[in-house]
Amino acid sequence: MQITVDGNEAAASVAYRLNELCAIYPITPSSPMAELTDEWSTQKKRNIYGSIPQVIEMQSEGGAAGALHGILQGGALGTTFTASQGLLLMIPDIYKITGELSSTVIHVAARSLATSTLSIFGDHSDVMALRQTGIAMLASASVQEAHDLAAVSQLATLKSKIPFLHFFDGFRTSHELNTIEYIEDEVLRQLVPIDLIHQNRKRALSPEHPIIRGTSQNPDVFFQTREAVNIYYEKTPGIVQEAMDDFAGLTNRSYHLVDYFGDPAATKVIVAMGSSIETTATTVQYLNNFGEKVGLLAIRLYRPFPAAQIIEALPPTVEKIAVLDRTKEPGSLGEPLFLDIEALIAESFVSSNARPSVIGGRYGLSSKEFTPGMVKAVFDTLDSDSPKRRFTVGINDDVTFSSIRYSKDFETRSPDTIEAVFYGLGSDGTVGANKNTIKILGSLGYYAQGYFVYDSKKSGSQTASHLRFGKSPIKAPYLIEHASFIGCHQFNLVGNKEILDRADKSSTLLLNSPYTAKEVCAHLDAGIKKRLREKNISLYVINATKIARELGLGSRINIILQTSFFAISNIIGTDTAKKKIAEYIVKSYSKRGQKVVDANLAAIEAALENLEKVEIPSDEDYRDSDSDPYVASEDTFIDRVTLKLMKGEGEDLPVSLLPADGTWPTGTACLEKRNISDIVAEWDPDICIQCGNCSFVCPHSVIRSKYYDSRDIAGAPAKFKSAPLIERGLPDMMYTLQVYSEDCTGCGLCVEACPVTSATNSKAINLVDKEPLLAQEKENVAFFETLAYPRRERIDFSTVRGTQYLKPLFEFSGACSGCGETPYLKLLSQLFGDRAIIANATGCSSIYGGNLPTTPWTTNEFGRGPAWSNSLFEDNAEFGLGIRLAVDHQYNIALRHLQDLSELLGSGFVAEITSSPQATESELELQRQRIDLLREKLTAIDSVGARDLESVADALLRKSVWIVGGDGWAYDIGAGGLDHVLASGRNVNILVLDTEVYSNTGGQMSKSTPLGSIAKFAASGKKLEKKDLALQAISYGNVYVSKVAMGADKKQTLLAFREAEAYPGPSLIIAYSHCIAHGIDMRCGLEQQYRATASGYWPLFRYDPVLQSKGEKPFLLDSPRKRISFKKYALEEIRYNALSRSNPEESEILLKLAEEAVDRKWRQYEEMAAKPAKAYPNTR
Amino acid sequence: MGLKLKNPIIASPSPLSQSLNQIKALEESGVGAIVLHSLFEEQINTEAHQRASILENYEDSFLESLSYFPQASLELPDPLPYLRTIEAASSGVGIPIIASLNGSSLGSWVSYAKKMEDAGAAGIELNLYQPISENEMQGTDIEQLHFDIFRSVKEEVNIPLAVKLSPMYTSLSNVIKEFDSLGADALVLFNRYLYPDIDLNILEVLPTVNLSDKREIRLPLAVIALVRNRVKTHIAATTGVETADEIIKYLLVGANAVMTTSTILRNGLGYVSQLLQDLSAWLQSRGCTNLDDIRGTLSYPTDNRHDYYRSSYVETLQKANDNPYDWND
Repeated sequence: MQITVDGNEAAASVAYRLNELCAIYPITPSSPMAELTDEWSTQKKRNIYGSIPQVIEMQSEGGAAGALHGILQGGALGTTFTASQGLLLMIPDIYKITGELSSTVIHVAARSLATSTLSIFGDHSDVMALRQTGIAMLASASVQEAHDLAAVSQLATLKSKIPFLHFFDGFRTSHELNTIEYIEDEVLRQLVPIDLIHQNRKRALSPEHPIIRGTSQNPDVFFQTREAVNIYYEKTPGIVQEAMDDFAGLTNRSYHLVDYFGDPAATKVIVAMGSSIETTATTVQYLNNFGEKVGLLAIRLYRPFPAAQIIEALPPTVEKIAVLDRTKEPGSLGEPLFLDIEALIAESFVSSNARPSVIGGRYGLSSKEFTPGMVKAVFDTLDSDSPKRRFTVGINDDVTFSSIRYSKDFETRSPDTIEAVFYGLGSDGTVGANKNTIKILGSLGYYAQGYFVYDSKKSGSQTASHLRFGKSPIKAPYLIEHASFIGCHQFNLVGNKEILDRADKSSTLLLNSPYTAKEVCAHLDAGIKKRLREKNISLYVINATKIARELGLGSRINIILQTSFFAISNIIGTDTAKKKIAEYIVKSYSKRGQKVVDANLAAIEAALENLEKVEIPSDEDYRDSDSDPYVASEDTFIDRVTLKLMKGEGEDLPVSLLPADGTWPTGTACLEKRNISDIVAEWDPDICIQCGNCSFVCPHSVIRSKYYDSRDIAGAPAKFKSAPLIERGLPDMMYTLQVYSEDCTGCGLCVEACPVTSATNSKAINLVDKEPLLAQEKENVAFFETLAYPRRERIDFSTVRGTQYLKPLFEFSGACSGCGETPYLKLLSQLFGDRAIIANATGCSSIYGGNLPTTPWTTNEFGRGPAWSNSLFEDNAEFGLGIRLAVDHQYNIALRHLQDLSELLGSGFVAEITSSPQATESELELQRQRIDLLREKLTAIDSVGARDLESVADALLRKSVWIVGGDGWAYDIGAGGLDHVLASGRNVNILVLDTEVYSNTGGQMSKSTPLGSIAKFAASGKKLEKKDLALQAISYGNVYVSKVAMGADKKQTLLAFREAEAYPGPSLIIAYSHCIAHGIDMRCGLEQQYRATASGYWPLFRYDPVLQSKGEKPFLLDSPRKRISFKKYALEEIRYNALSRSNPEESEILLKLAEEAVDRKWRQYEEMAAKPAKAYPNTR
Repeated sequence: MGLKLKNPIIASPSPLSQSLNQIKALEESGVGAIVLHSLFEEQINTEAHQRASILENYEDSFLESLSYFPQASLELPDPLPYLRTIEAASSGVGIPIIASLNGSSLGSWVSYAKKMEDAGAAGIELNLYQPISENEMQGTDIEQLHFDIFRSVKEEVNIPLAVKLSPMYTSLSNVIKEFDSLGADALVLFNRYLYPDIDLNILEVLPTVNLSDKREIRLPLAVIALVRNRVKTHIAATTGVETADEIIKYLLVGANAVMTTSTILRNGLGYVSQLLQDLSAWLQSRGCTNLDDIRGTLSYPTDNRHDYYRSSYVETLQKANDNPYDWND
């Protein structure tokens, strides 16, 4: 049977059916393997031995590995799925599992390790870090292999007792859809017979036949014990080959530890592993057809290293070998596979004159493309008289000149493969439709492949779908360069250079256009029309957006464009396509309701009726357009690097332009002007009461307020809006609330937050169509930028209104439209950004905060702003603490020098600079002036101490150290570190952006996930209450703790931020952050925050050790008793109401328990609020 | 409707029939049949649409999170719990379970009627609830729409189909006659509109649900009396039952069955047996052994209907005007 799946599903399908228990932790790109197994377990699917595998989500990969170790010692069949640093967290246990000769297979979607920069994409740097553990390593090169070798490795581990790491390339294989042959249960049953399981169980710990493992050994026998395992490693390659042979006998798909492809008399051979095998094999075949004597040695079993099989497989004629590694080991003699081969060749040819030469190259780091042109370049470099002994391919290394040149035009395309690329937005359904197109073609006997490229934004993200179809298996794990069909599903994307670059000559372009065939040419850039004609591209248009709206499909234009694709390309005939699409619609959308099904079915006919072919006039003047969508900048680094990345030209950047240590400038998101929304906020000055609410809650910092002298308005654009300032003590001042329309995402939170309603039911800020006001607003923004922000010392930090005169130093992030987290970060940046250092845990906030090409963190008019860094997911609290320690240390150095230099600097001055409380903005400003004066004074002092003091003088300004992350970090993987940092007593501010679920990786349960809600790994509703992190922290006594929800009480949020920052010890703020993973219309996010508090589920409170030390009641309950039921709040969200639909009885029980929990918790807090200082730990 | 009932009291759609346990309790209380709470067209349509858009807007959008919910939890279509309730109830209780479908427009939602049948419903009550806020349509268009909706549902099912009407048609008796000729297996007379109130303190419109009282029986009583002998189909009376008196009145004008929720909500499930006792006692006191002995005995004759009704109206008004302060409220 043929199925169309991605590599993750291919591997997980086998792993699930051959195992009994899975202990996992989500990490990209392996998460879907764990999610699928959990889903199958929820559906009570059985493994081939008749039991239902259980899946447990742990708190970290370290936890998953520990649980796996226990599972194996308990005698069960266990597995896990992971990648990248997650795999590294498993290393300690993997040594144990391996040392104890326990049978298991760990499936890895191989991913880059985070170094100076995180990357979620694929290479072998994670798996290579496990070479030393002794785990066997089997590499799959394709989706089919991920399926097949998952089975082979399971048999091999049970027979050899050596645990296996089965890996395939992250994203390239894990996320590539391909048509594969499915392994039926019966085949698996024959392959891995149950008596192997019985033998495995006999090794379990049992008091019926007790033994001990995990002893501590001494010098007398440890060494010998380690050597005792050798025999197992010697046997393993043979066992793996036997397993492969058994597998071939059952399936006719034959594999070897190493496979040779190409001319049996080849003189040049590439050695490679992973998905590059397919690219190299097809290129070798292509070159062989032209008589080139080249070959490929494909490594499948990497550990134990199959030395004999490699030597046997190499053609005797080989003269030159290039070994390709998809990893980098800086400072080494070479990368691991190269070193292995080099050593093997040296050893095997020690007494031979025919020893081939071996060179090593790196390729494909972080899913960098690896193409036939690069394979050819490697063979070509072997021809050179003195090839680079260590090289890179795929980049331009203009610093150490490691790179070899390759041709982008060299292709090995099969003429009967159809290649198509579709560009769209994440929200328009393009990817979903293409996944379906692949399944449709797969079901009709076609081989099909799909690979999907996404940008790094969470709102308005762009997608590119690369699809290949043909009558034979598709083995091309790289992007399509020259497509015969291009679908451009958003009109404004057609200007992207990449789109027509990827169009082949005489190809077809389908454009979703608001203009008809007759009108569209007038709206296309001259340069585009020129290229359309040059490439002889047939252009079709359809107004899919309008049709979708009319049919009630909103932004989902997928079916319309999918139908158009089938109609134009005529691969399977329009009637068959219609039938198949209709079947898909019924299958996919039935769960969403009949009306959704009907609207989509109607879209098929509407597409066929409205598709038009465009005649491009040949007599037009094709001047190239010189318009640049991006704003130019003066900063040269930004010009040369950031702007290139924004234009999608990052591939062209040479090594010399990239910062080696991962240091990048801030203040770049403002350059993007992404214009992702057709509707934007508009201010009505006539009814506005200037409360600042809209600006306070704006997740994208697109609403700014300033007040200024009425004379400053001279020279303003005619339609620049302003109103007299409503503020006592500031007469003759004007006020402007400016919307940055190009950056507005149209989320509507501002409208919801506006307290004013006019007689005509409009608000003081409203969502309107952008197009009519865009030009004007651009002018207005430009003028607004010329107006100065009021001085910080003059701002009332205690009011919401006041804080909104502070410039946000976090702006225009790519977070989801209406994000519940970013308003808190923006507030942080306004209040403390000019002296803040931020340690950011990996997660949503590190992605919208620091995913290239740009960052929303920015600077004020003096060039000051937050300094931001991301270490890892698990260590963020410790990372932030370390920063605090360093800052404090430098402060202490400065103090010491100030005392030493007191006479020269003036004792009065030294007293001032060392004793300033720096509590208010005025004091901070004075301190800045003192530091400037200090620097001036120091220039006149010629001493080592003076120079040392100069280098730490900045530490004299009070720094605000923030530790920021989500609940996945704070409640789970980073909980131990967070707890320790809270107990450290050091002055750090910890902000937990609590979405109650792992948002960034797609909604997995955390210990913050509430009782009664569903999440991945809690599909039947979470049965346990959310962990009370606040109470844990309060138990220390000296931690400032607050729970806030901006949508419930802005002022309380503001107060908590200010108190937390001012408190000289550890502070913890737990901030309710609504999220798309809650299943809400994001416009209702603030309303849901309000309901959460009104129901008593999310009480607002502050625990202030300062009050305790003064003898006052330290626990302050800031929100009133419940006014609505928990149920009323909860059932507004899909995370709760999905269960009430799918399992109403269970939902009813859980919601009742949750309601009781809310009431019980509330009583507890009320009691705490009533308790005097002496009831709490003494923090004096 | 053609269903054999042990007594004429039917529990009308209410919150009392939402779960199997409640349905069992209703059966134990003694009612002859149960009409389940309504499945609304909007539940099938709008909500599904909104959910779809919330779920789909973020699917396949961001590489690390191609979805946000465990797919298995979302697999079930929205109205499925309703169908499961029918399934459980039809096999779990011994009295007929009638499903209720509420809508006001043509569309595929009517296909849920078939699903109700498949789930084991003994019959379906189609509730044609036209919002009075609809101001773009002519009266005849509304009538035509309702006939069309009825026809399309009728085409879907083989089980008895009743239609529940509001009294607010321009030509009520004509509409009733038309439904009769379209093959309605029963008429349920009448639907009550729920009119919101206004809170003068907060100046907000408050949705309110009031239980009906016995003063409200007169309109259905009059209309049933009027049409009883003009239509072939069965008639279920609903609205205003407080005691057995109202049930008896309805039976006298020709109702085949009588529906109530209000009195059960007011007095509890135990009150059903009281109603039945009172009904029996009344029948016995009149020497009747069978409901058919009284059913329809006070309905209007088929001939001279216009004159009959008009003269009754004139007579009533005259009496009232003679004694204006005796008007019953």
